[in-house]
Amino acid sequence: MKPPPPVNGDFVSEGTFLALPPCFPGVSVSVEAAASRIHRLCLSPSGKFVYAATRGPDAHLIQFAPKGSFGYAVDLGCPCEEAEIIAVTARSGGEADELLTAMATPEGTRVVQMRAALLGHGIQEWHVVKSDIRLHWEFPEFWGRDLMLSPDGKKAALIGGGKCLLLTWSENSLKIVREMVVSESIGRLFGRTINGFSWVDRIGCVWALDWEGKALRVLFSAENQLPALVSPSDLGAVWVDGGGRVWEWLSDSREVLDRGWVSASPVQALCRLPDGRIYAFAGEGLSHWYVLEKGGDWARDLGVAVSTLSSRRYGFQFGDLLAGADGEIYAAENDFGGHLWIYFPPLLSA
Amino acid sequence: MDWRYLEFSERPHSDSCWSVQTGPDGRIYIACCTEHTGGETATVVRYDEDRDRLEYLFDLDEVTGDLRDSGRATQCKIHYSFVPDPERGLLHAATHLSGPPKGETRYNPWASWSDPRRAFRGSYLVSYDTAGDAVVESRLMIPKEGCRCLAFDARRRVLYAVTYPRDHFVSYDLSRGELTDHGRVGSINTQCIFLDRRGRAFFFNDAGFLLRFDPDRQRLEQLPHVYPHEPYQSAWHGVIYDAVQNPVTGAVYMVPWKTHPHLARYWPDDGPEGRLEDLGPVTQPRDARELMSVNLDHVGGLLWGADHKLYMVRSEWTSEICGWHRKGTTSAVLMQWEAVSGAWESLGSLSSDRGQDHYVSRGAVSARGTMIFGKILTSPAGVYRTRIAGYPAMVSPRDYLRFWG
Repeated sequence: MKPPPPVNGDFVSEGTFLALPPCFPGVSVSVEAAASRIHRLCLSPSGKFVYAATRGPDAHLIQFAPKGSFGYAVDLGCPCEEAEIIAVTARSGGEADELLTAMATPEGTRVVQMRAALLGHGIQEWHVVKSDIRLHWEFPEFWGRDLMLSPDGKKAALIGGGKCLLLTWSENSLKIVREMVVSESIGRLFGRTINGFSWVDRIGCVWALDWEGKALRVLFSAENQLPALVSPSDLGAVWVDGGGRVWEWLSDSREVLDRGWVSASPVQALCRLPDGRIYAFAGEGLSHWYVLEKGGDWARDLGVAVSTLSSRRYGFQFGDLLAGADGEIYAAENDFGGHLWIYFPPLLSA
Repeated sequence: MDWRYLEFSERPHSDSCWSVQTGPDGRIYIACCTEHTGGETATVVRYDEDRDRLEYLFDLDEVTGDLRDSGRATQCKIHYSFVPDPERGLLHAATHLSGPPKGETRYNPWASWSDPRRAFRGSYLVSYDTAGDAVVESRLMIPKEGCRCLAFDARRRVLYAVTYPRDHFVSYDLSRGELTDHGRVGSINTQCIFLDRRGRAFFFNDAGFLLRFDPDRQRLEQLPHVYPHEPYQSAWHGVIYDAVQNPVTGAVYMVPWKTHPHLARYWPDDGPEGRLEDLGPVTQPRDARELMSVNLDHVGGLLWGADHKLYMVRSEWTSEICGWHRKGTTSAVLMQWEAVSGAWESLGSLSSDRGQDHYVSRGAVSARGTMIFGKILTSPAGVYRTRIAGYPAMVSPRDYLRFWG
């Protein structure tokens, strides 16, 4: 099928983007531009905070407070030095959010626990407590791809490189329950329930595993849908294959739907909203914002991301998308001076 | 002051002059640009001092091989990107985009970034032998993007540039022909990169902070200096528009690309981070509640004279033009500033009788003391030629070369 002609439009033509700097403007300044390329996002259990992990050998973890009256971002610093953040996840710890971060260090893979408490309403009352928990053995190569917590926050899975580590996380300690050899995962873990979680491997098989590591199953095996990028969704997962075709996995019915194509490549990040719309950033060097509607063959090019709140910023490179609780989308700007972007999509007509 | 307007009469579609520079031969080179007409190209022009006229040297599309009727966005400008190379007698020029393809009226580099037929091919670096009057080399320096402004560290033979539209700071090793991307710096291009005597490169970012690139450490760092601005303004958009160095003291004088611009002076070697001084506003007072275009409340054409005075051209306007009404009149006034006393002197207005005159892009002075200032906002565009009574010829013209566009 022939793709639509390139758009000769302008900046994003539907909905609104808002870019939040990784600081509290007027109070603090951002981390160095080269250390603020955001590539992973995580939503706090309360939905109030977004945690952003930056790229690079001295990665930072930044907490954004886009909701409520706070309106700031706090640099939580480097969870450990000379380490790349692979993934971050959060659970509720009473007045605090407790974060579990998977890191790639020169010595191997490391998991870091951080506790961050918000006491009161001011930035001055923010407390961060770091406790570094290193795994018992060395993984000299970079192997982790994703980290996921069970819904009750007591168990965790770290996957990548054909391995899966299952852990228990009590108040202040991590224990490894099981190490398994599994099929190599692509992209993100998804399908989190109290029973287990899922991933997609490089040949398009959808796998499921329980939190004890006892029941490893193949839920689906695809032939022509080899995933290049996988993103979790409320119903299962969405992924894009090497040809730019987008697929949607429905966990309940265990089926894969063909959702159409994105004409630009590579797809940098994609995300499904609960109403079925799939949004994606795609394009080399200077990405455009696309939407795939239900029943559409080709994603519509909505233009280039721009935010004009306070000051103008263009968005060219993105690393992660996350659907918020109120229909908004959080986007990780994977670029020097990266911001947290929030997209408010247009209402769907009845 | 004796002045005359010289129109680009041989390029009737031209609409702007973004670069004016003193070459290594002491003569003045000028960029005749066409950004609003599809399928055109920029031309490098030289001021013939003996005949008081313009010489048309070469068209950028022909010397780069990226022809104006290719269907792509055109090699339409040299945007603050002339630099002299006195060791080899060359003038380097880097091209810029925004001229639409043939038959079109507008080009959007964001929208057309991945367009296989129309996308801009990139910024070419063209090297012109000023003694032999020939282009000696042309090469693609920045793929897919334009070069907003250029600086040249002649000792290391390294060029610095900021790309458009992605706003990356890059360096280009002339000897090796290698481009190095030092990363994105913001969304608003700086309009000028200046160098100090040690070859360090400086510019301001969107947030108004001074950035410094150290070539020995290959490190771009943010310094704790914010471009001076009015109390009612934020520091945003504090990128510099134009800058010039006093060759005796090493101090750099600059103006921002921002309304109500302040003149600032930076001492690069005063302490580990240098010292930045606010020398106050340059343009007239106005009602800050009114929106004002950065293209109207403007200062450009900075040059440091052999008489050790700072020259620049500022815009002036009648009160009814403030905001968006645009019913009043505007003018460009050549100003002279004396560094010791801080005294300003108005030398008179520059007028072309061709469109509005208030916006001057760049200025340069020849070895014999003729000043040339670039004009935009009309078609064909042109330059103002001025001579100031009593202005001395340069004793050592090389001392006064400016190594950035």
